[in-house]
Amino acid sequence: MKSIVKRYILPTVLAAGMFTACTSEFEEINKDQNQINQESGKADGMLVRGFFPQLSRSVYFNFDNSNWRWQVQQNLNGDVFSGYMAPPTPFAGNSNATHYNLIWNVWPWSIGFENVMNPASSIDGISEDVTPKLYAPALVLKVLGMHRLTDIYGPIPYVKYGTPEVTYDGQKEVYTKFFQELDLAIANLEADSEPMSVFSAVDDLYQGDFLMWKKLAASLKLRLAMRISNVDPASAKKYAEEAIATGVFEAGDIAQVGQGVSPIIHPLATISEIWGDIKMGADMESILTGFNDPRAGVYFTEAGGPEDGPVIKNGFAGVRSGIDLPDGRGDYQYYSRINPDFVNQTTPIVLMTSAEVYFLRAEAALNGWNAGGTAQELYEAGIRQSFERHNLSDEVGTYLQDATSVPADYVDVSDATYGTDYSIEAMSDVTIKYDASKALEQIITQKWIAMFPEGMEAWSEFRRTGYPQIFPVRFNKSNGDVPAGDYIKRLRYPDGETVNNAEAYNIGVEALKAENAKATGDTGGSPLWWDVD
Amino acid sequence: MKFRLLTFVVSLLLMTNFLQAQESLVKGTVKENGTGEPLPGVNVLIKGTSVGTTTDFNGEFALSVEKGGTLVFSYIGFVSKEVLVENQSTFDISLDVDAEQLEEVVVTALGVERSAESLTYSTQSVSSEDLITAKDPNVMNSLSGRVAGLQLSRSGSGAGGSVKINLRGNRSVSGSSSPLYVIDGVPMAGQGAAQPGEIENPSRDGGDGISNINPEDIESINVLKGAAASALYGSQAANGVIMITTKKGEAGQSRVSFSSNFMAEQAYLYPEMQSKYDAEGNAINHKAHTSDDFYETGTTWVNSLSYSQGGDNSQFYASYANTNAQGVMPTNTFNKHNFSFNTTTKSRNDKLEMRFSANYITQEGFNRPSAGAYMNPIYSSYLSSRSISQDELKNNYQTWNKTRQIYEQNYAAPVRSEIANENPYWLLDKATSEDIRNRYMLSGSLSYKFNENFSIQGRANIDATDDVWERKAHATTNPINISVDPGTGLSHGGYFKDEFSNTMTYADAILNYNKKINDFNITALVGGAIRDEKNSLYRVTSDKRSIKYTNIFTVASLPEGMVPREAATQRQVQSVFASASLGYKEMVYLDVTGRNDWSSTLPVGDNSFFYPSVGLTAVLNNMFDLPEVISLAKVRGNYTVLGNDANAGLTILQHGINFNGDLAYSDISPADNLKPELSTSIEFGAELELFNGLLYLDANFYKTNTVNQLFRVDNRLGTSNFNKRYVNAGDVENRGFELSISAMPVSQGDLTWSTTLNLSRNVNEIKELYTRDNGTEAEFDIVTNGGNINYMQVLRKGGAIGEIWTADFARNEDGTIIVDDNGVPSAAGITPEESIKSNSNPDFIAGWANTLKYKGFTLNMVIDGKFGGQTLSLTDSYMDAEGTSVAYAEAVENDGSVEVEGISFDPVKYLNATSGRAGVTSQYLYDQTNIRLRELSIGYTFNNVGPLSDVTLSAVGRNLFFFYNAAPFDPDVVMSTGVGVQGLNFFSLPTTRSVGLNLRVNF
Repeated sequence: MKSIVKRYILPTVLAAGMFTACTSEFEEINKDQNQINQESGKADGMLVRGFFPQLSRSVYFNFDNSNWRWQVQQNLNGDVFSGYMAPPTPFAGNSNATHYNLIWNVWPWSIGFENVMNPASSIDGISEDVTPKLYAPALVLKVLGMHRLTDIYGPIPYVKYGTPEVTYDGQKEVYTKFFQELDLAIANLEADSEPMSVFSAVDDLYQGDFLMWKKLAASLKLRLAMRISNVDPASAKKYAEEAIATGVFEAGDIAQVGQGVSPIIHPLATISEIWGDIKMGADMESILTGFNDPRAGVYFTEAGGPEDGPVIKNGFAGVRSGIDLPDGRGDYQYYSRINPDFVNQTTPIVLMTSAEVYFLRAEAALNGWNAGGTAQELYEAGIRQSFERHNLSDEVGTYLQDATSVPADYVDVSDATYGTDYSIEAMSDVTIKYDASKALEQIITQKWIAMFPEGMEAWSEFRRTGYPQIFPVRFNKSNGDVPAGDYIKRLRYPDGETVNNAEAYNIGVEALKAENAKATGDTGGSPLWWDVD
Repeated sequence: MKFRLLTFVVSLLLMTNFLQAQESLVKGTVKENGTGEPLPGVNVLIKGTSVGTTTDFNGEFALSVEKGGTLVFSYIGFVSKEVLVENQSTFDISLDVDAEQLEEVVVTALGVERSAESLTYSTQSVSSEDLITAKDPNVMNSLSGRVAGLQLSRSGSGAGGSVKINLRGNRSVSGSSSPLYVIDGVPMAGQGAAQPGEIENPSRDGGDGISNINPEDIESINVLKGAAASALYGSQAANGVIMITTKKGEAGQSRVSFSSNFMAEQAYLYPEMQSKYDAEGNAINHKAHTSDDFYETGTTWVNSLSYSQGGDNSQFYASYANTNAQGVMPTNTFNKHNFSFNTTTKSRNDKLEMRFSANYITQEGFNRPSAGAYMNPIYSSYLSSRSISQDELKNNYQTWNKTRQIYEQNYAAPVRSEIANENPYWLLDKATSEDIRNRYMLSGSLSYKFNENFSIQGRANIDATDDVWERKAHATTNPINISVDPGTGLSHGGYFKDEFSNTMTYADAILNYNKKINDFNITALVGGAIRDEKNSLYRVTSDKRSIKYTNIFTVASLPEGMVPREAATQRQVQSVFASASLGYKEMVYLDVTGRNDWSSTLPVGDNSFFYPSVGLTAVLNNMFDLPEVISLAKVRGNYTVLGNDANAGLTILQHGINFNGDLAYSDISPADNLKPELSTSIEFGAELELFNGLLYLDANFYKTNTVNQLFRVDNRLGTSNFNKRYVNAGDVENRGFELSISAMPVSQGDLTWSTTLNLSRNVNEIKELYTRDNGTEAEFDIVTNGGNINYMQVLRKGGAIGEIWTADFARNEDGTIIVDDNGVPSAAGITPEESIKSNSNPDFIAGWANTLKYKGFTLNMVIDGKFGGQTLSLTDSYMDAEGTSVAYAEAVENDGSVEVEGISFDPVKYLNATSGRAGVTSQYLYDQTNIRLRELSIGYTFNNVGPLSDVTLSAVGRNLFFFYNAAPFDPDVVMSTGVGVQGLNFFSLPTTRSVGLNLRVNF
């Protein structure tokens, strides 16, 4: 037996062993060297700086070329709820978010957590000790992305994110954390704002100009301060005055994702021009044409018609939200679309403008806070900024003095064709020339015009202030979640949360109800913490 | 040119034969000792040379030989005889039956030959004749109906397309459920071909590895169904093994075979289209495009030539085959060349044996059909607008744009619903795809017999495939998904290219031991193996953007900022294994195997796993005195555990770089605790042979449970900076039986009828899914999410792999259909509560194969059937929504109403409301039950025609017609041969029937 072992088995096992001895390379074998892993990613701080394009391109999602993700993240939600735009396409058999049947409630949530919260939180862990100033823009982008989420849903997992103890936090806690994070970002940048080439190369917004990041952090802080000004005026005043003291956007400043680092494609251009899935909203038509606002022609094209047929309407034609559209797009395909000169594929994606900041300050001044000017001065400065941005400075003087133009009645030319009744009278008689008795409505209405096409922020401010007064949806298909004649207050949480994260979800819904007496539960009709009269 | 070359090669080969025939001629007859029956096909070889011949039908031979030479007569099942050539001019030779050799030998795992009697598990084999008579370009299609428990589906991608083979059900929720293919004992690579995963925008069928093989090279196929048979192949064999034995040269034989096969192919069972009304229901006054206009008659030529020759110590086999096909979809072509060579050499003392084989395959497909919506001519054909005439659509599919100096797509009809459409004829001409594959397989083995008991064997092989796929979408193609250039505002076209390569290297060393000690017979082996598989992908895509240079399809034309993407994975498994079989008096056999694998894909430090198997067989007829009619009675059982590693790269946190060159944060955390998947199976079987083999029964019962399945699950949000993680969990059970009955009901004189009936049933059940973060048990997990489409493939506790969910009518609380203000119903959600749940697996599979022989005539017929299981036709649903279907025309013509569950609806409104992607999709579910004539061939063999030893001419037909088919399409044509998008027909190429002629000539 021994000789058998010696003669035959041992050599075989040894031969076999020759193959099987070298499992030491298994770890290397298992890696795909075309990807960046925790080790290779340490070089030049790639695991920190590498994620900035993803962060800045996911707030207003254009990180891949999919377009449809953005369409359901933003376009068919905030852009419609704000009155900015409306689709001419009968999505899901004329029962969709534009009718308050909230079928696209998943995407803002999943895109935000996957593309903003997760990478931003991973940067948090790595870079805090290493480069405080690099941590600052990550914090700003995180707050910029995640405040949109909490403003859409209400309570979200945030404060203890990344730990097993995580649960839904009330919006108040989330906002408190936002302010802390923005303060930390500002402090880090005040301590050191020397440019770093490794950051400049990946900075979509400012190509490495840390001082602009500081301005953005302060402007964002001001935006959030005004958001909570009704529910917590004292804190709001403190944060707003601090932010203005730090230094917010001034003439010409802007936060936009441009072509600096690598090309971006503006998803609105695709949805509007190529897919034809979005048109001017009826409210935009009513207010811009009523005001004889020259920005109407900047933002939109005039209505068209079939190739050999007549133009369906002279001038601008907006689509009303929540209507039943004909099978196919019918005449609605010829309504005013986004002006391709204003938004085309290569247009930078604007996240915040100096005009908005002047309007925020105007409102702060209106509240009697120290905003570095009077409400009227800042209101007019906001309009000037907007006109200047669109090269309309020549016309701003007349515009500011216009005390007669009011929003126009909305007449849907297709009513005659299809036998529908979508036309509606104007909701407001607000005008342009500063009028102290209607100052808030004027400020917010003008901010609304100036912020176009950033519908998410416009929708939030509409919910907080009720301005501008937009048309109610024609058909409310929310099954009673949103009371008839009322407006949508939030999106429902994704269904997955009720299954996979039920305990925390319930805490979230309780917080939602606790934070606003009018909130009834996880429906589109529950107003958020800051949405109080 | 091609034909001339062929003639040249043939004459060259013939010449070598004539050159050998120069000595004095001897003649003779070979008969069976005892009966005196002449033996045809006996090898007659001059000893020490490779010169020889075979006896003809009457057992006669003639050979030129020098005096003093020795003739060796050998014949399978008989004892060889040597005769010295002296002055005899005629030889009367009688050969003795070799009792030992008559025992059936089966090739088992690792190429080990064992007597069929001793096996403790189920195998079933198919012979060459069955594979090459009614030839299919993918040889696996010929297995349909011939093997119990083998479920076969085809991809709708024409010649060179993949097949899906399932032995004993789907086992894995995330990995492959396909069997391992083994050629001459060594595993084949090529399991990594791309498969569609989405519905509307699926990837293509990359073509599986087995489809590349030349059917003529195959001697036999042996199917090892259960895990037990394959324990020695390790994880890859978890789904069974298809063992292919190739043809070899034989000692004393010099053989040239030529075969030519021509098949004409016709599409059928495709949806009918109406040419009466436009989408608004107005009558049209022209002939619109219909599916009848679209398909053409396809043709397939397969020509192959093989040459084999062998001396005493060395034999070789060489072959060449060419497959040339024109598909039924216009412009689709496929061309394949196979080169194959193998040789076996033995040392003079028979101790050392060396084998070497080489295969080279090169193939090219053009416009290979694929399912889906985007850039699929079939989709565009079925949904083409009724308002355009067929003439216009086909003849004016493009218009010359003078300003742009390019052709632009014409009649890219915008359609009613949210679905975009294109001109099918434009797609065929201006959005073409091409795929090229080059593959080589080299393998060598060396074995040495130390003595009667010990032998050692070492093998190595390389199987390397390079695929290049390219799609060139000219400017104005797919205006929805190919955007315009930001500079010009025009579409410049789209470019897509994949370069995929797969290289598998395998090596093993095995020590064999055989010994008979008194009544005990021991067969044992111990060995080690290494398998290394590398995949790499280089992908160029303009994705949804327009390329830079109009109609210039090259990497440099990629849109600004877009970059090619690369991926490379490698997986290495090192193994040691041992197996022992102990037989007692040919009555009882005990098998024990064990294998330990180390896999590079498992966590470092925890990458080793062991799995054993044990099996027992009792040969009852050798144990007891059974009635004489029973020639074999055997019962067997086995218990097997099989481990399976995971895909590469799961244990490492890796962030990819996307097409825009940006780093994308991984959404899944590294699987630090990844465990191998484990399958545990038990199998019981019995075999019974009666009346000296005239009736044979083989029955099996089995149950397999696969645990530690790999799931991608959602984290409880925020517990880490990743949304998902991997979890090893779950339990999938497959249980069922297989029954195979073979008989020779007629055997009288020249007439024989042999028949085999194969029956099987498999029940797949998901016993357990996984537990979520919060401690609750997951009720279901999504495999394919239809998104906007009311379809989902779901893993549900209590359901089966392959369960699909479709939409029911939205219903009131009392269950009645909700009718809205417009008087139409609507679809309910695809939710666990509301959806209609269907199993797309058949309940029962049957196959019936028959061979009838009379003199030179041979008739073959295979009938097979699948019973039960449901499948969804989204094709019909979309066509109804678009108004191109006959159902739509009928609805328009119906002035009354349709009644559904007691409610009357306007026919057109009802159809509009229930069809389309967001429609009541459950209305488009069909029973998959079908019974068909799979194969029919009739042939005649002429013997001794001139210089030819035999010529067989056959008329063959495949997939000729259905005896019964419940669905309006062929449910065997599947969208994907992978894991997802099952139970779904979505604008796939329809099924085809083919008839043709087969000529086979042996020299």
